Amino acid sequence: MSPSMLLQLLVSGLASSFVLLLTSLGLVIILGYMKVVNLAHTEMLMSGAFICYYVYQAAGLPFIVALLTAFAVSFLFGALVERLIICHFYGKMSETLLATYAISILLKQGALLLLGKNYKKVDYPVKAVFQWGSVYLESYKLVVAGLSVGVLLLTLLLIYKTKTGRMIRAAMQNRSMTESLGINTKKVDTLTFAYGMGLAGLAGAVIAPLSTVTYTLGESWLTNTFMNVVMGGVSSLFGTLASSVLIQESVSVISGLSNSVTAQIIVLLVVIVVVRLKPDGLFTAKERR
Amino acid sequence: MKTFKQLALTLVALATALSMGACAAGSSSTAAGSTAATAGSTAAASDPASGSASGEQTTAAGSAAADGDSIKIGLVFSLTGATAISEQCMYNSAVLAIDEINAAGGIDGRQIDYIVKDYATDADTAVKVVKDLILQDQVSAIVGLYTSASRVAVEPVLEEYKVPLVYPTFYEGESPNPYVVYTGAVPNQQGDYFIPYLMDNVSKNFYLIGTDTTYAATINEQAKTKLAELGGNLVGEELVSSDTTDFSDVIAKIRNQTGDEGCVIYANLNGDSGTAFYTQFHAAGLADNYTIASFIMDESFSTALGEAAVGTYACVNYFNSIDTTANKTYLENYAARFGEDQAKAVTAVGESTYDAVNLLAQALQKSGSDLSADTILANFDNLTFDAPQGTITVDPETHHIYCKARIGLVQADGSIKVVYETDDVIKPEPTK
Amino acid sequence: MPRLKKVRQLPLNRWIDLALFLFLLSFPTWQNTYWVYIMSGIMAYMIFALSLDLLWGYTGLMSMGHSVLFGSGGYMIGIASAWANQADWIKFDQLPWFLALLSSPLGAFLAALLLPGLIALFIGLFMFSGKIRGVFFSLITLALAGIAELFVINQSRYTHGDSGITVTSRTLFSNADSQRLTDQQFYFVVLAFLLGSYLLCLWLVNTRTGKVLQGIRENESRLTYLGYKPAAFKLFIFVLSGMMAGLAGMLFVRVQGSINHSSIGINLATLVLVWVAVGGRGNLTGALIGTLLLQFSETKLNSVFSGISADFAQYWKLVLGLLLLLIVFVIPRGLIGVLLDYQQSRQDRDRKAAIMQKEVNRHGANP
Repeated sequence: MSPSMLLQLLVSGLASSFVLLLTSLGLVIILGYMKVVNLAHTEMLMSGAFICYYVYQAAGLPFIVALLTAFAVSFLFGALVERLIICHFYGKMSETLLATYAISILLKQGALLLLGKNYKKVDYPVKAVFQWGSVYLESYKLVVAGLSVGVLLLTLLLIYKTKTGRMIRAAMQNRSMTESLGINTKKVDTLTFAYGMGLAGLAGAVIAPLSTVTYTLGESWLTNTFMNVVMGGVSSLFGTLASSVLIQESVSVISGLSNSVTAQIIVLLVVIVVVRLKPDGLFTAKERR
Repeated sequence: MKTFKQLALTLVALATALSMGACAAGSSSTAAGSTAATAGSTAAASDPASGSASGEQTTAAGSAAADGDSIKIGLVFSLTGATAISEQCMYNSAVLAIDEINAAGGIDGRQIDYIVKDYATDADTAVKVVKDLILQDQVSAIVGLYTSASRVAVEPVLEEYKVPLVYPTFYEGESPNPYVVYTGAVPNQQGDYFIPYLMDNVSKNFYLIGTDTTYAATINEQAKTKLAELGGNLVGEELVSSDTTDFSDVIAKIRNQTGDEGCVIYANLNGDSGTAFYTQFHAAGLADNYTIASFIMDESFSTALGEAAVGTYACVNYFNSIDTTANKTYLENYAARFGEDQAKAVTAVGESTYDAVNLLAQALQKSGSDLSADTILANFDNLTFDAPQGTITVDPETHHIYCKARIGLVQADGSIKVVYETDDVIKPEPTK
Repeated sequence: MPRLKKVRQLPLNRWIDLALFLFLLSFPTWQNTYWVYIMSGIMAYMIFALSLDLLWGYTGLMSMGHSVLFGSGGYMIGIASAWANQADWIKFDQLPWFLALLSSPLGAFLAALLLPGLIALFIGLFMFSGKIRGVFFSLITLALAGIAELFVINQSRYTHGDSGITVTSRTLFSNADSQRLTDQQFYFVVLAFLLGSYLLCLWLVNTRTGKVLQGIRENESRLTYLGYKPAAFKLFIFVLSGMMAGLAGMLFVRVQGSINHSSIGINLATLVLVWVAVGGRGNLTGALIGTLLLQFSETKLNSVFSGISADFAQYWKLVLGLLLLLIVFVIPRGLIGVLLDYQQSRQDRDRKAAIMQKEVNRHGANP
C-alpha cells in the first residue's frame, strides 16, 4: 500500500467515523442514560431520511430546514412514544426491548406501505470535492463532520452546563433522591428519550444523500451502530467519539490491505476483545461520574 | 380486579390461537376448494364437507370468477422484505399477464385463478408458502421467487411434490433443476458480450466490485476469464458485504489503484448497497474518469438515481426502451393499470415475469386436461413467445430461454438506451 | 380436602404443559400434511426457545445472538448433507480436517451438538471471566450474530454463500432421499426431542444447580459471598443451552430441507427473544406457548391475508407489530407470567381467607 493511499484511506476513514458518530449518538444517550436498548433506533434513522427526502428533495426547502424538521418530528415522536409506552417499563429490559422492537416493526412496515416501494434519491446539498495533493474529500463529508462534532458538543453542553442536564445526571445516579428533591424525573425521562430519538432522526436526514432512501435503510446500520456503542461504552460520549474513529479507521485501513468484508469481520472481533479487556467500554474512566 | 382483566385477555388470546388451530383443521388436503380464503371464517372452515372443488372462490385479487373449471397457479413474491422494491414490478407484471390471458378467454375457456403469497425475502418463508400452495391450494404450477437462496431452498420441495416452478429472475446459473423453468438471462447471455463491448468502447482496464454473493462471485469470475482471454487488464477486485452503505474506502482504493487512462468499474452490487455506491462514486467526482458498468443497473435504479446513474452501462436482455410492438402494448397496459410512473420503472425481471406467465399459459394449453408436472414441463420444450423483448424460445435441454444480449446506456432522463444488441438470440448455458 | 388443595397449588403452567403436549401428540391425527410440517418446524423452534429460556429466563443472561448456536448446528447438517450428495457447488475433493466429522451422518449429528457447545464454551470462557454482564453481554452477543452472518456468507466454499444449502429432509442419521420419513413420522421424532428437552429443562431447574442459576439471576454478588462461583454455573448453562440450540437448529434444518444465512443472523436472534418474552420467561411454559402462538399466528395471518387480498398480505406484519405492543402493555410479564401471577394472588387470598376464618372461629368460641 502506497503512502498516498494510506493517507487517503485515513482521511476517508476519519470522515466516515463522523457519520458513524452521528448515527450512534441517539442510541448511546438512550442506552447510557436510560438503560433502554432502543431497537427502533435504526428505523428512526430511516424515518429521518424520509423526512429529509420530503422536505428537501420533494418540497425544495433548504437542507437545514430538512434537518431541523427531521429532528423536531423525531423529537416529538420520541416524546410521544416515551409518554405512551416506554415510561411504563423503566428498569425492565425485556419489556422495553419488546416495545421498541414493536415500534421498529411499525415504523418499517408503515414506511413500506405508506411511502412506497421505490428508491428515493436526495441530492447532495453541497457538491464540491476538495483536493490536497493526492488526497480527496467530498465537501459534504466535511459538513457531516462539522454537524457531528457540533451535535456532540451541544449534547455535552446540555448535559453538563444546563439545569436539565444536571437533572438528567442526577436522575441517572439516584432516582429516588432526585425525586425527593422535588425534581420531576418523569419530565427528565421524556426529554432524554425524545432527544435521543430526535438525534436519530437528524442523523437519518444527514445520511439520506449518501445513499437512496428506502424502507430498508435502517437494517444496514444495525450492526455498526450497536457495535460502536458497545465499544465506546454507554456512559461516555467521548468514548463513542473515540470508538467511531477507531472502528472506521481500522475498517478503512484493513480494507485497503484486503477487502471490506474481511475488514468488517476482523474489526468486529477486535471490538469484542476490547470490550472483554475494558468491560465498561473505552475511556469510561475519563468521565466524571 | 386488574389481574382478572389480564387473565381474561390472556384467555381470549389463547382461544384465538386455538380457533386458528381449528381453522387449520378445516382446510383439509383433499378439498381443493377450502383454502386460505375460507380459513378467514371459522364457521366455514369447521365444516370441510361444504368445500367441494368449485364451492369457494380462491382467487386472491378477484380475477374474473369462472364457474367452470379453472386452472390454479401460485404466485410467490416478496411484497414485504428487503427485495420488495425489485419484486413489486414482477408481481404487477404477473397479475397483468394473467388478467390479459383471462380477458382473452383464458386457456381454452378455462380461467387462470391465482393465489399470491408473500415470502418477505426469506428463504424459510419461501419454503413454507410454496408448501402451502402445493399442499393446501393444490396449484398446478408456481411462478415467482427472486433471491437465489429462496430458489435453492424450494427446489427439493418441487422435486418431492412434483410441481413446476417458473423462475423469472436473471441469475448466476446452476445445473438446471428438472422442475424449474428459468425465464431470466444467465451470465453467458450477458457478460460474454458486455466485457468485449466495454473493452472496445470504454477502456481495457477493469476494476471488479461485487456484493459478497454467489451471483456477484460468478459474474466476476466470468469477467476475469473473459479479460484474460481478450487481453484486458484487471486493475483490482473488491468484495463488500450486502449491508455496506459507506464506500469511501472502496472509492479511495479505486482512485489510487487506477491510473489516469480511464477504467471500467464493473460493479455488481445489491439494492441499497448498489445505489449507495453509484451516489458516492458520483459525489466523489470519479464519474469523469471512470465508467460504471453493471448487471444490476435497471430502470428502477436509473430513474431514481438521477445524474449519478447517467452515462453508466447496463447489460441484460430487456430494457423498457426497446422498440417492439409487444413492448409498447405491455408498457401501455402496465401504465393503464399501475400508473405512468410505475411503467417508467418496469425492469427486466418484470418483463421476464410477464413472459413466464405467458409461457406457462402456453404450456398449460398444450397440456390440456393433464396437468401433471411432467406433462407441463415437457410442453415447455421449444415454446416460443413474442415477448416485449422480442421472440424468445425455451431451450428443451436446460429449460432456460434463448434471448438476445443487450447493452444499455443510462440517459439523462433516467431511461436506458440500447446501444448494442446481438443479431441473434443466444443459447443459454447455465452451467458455463 | 387436602389432596384437592395440593392439586390446586400445583403451578398452573404445568397443566398447560400437559395440555400442550397432549395437543401436540394428537395434532397429526386431525391435521393435514402442511400443518404437520409447519408444526414440526415450530416444535424445533420451541426447543430453541426453551434453550434461551434456560439462559435468559432462569439465569438472567439475555443473549441477543442465540441464533449463532442454532445456525451453527444447522450448518453442520447442511454441509454434511451437501457433501454426501455432492451438491454441484462443492469444489473440493476432500472434506478439510476441521469438517472431517461430517463425513458420516452420525458424525454430523454429533457435530451439530458439539460445535454450538464449543462456540458457547469459548464465548462463555471469554465473557464470564471478564466480568462482562448485563446489557454488555446482550450487545456483544448481538454483534456476534451480525459477524456470524457475514462470516457464513463469506465462506462460500463451504456454505454456498448467500444461496444456502439444500439438505436431505426428514432423516436424522442419513443423507439419502430414499431414507426419508413421512412428514407425520418425522413430526413424532421432533416431538420426542421436544419432550426430552422439556423434561431435561424441568428437571434441571428444580435441582440445586437450577436454584443456583436463579440465584445468579436475582443477585450474583450474594451468591459469590455464599461461596459459589457464578462464572462456572453460567458457563455450564451457556454450553448446555448452546447444545440445545444446536439440536433445535439441526431438527429445523431437517424439517425445512434447507439452510441459509438467515438462520444464523440477527433477525432470528431477535425473533426468539420476542417469542420467549411474549410467552413469559423463567417458567418454560412461556417459551413453548410464546413460540407456538407467534409462529402459528404468523403463518396463519400470512395465509389468511393472502387469501383475502394480495395487497392485504403486506399488512400482516403491521398487525403483528400492533399485537406485540398490545401484549407488552396488557401482559408485560408474558402470557404465562400473567397466569402464574393470577394463581399466586388467588392462593394468597385463599391463605388470607383461611387465616381470617381461623381468627373468626377463635373469637367465636371465646366471645
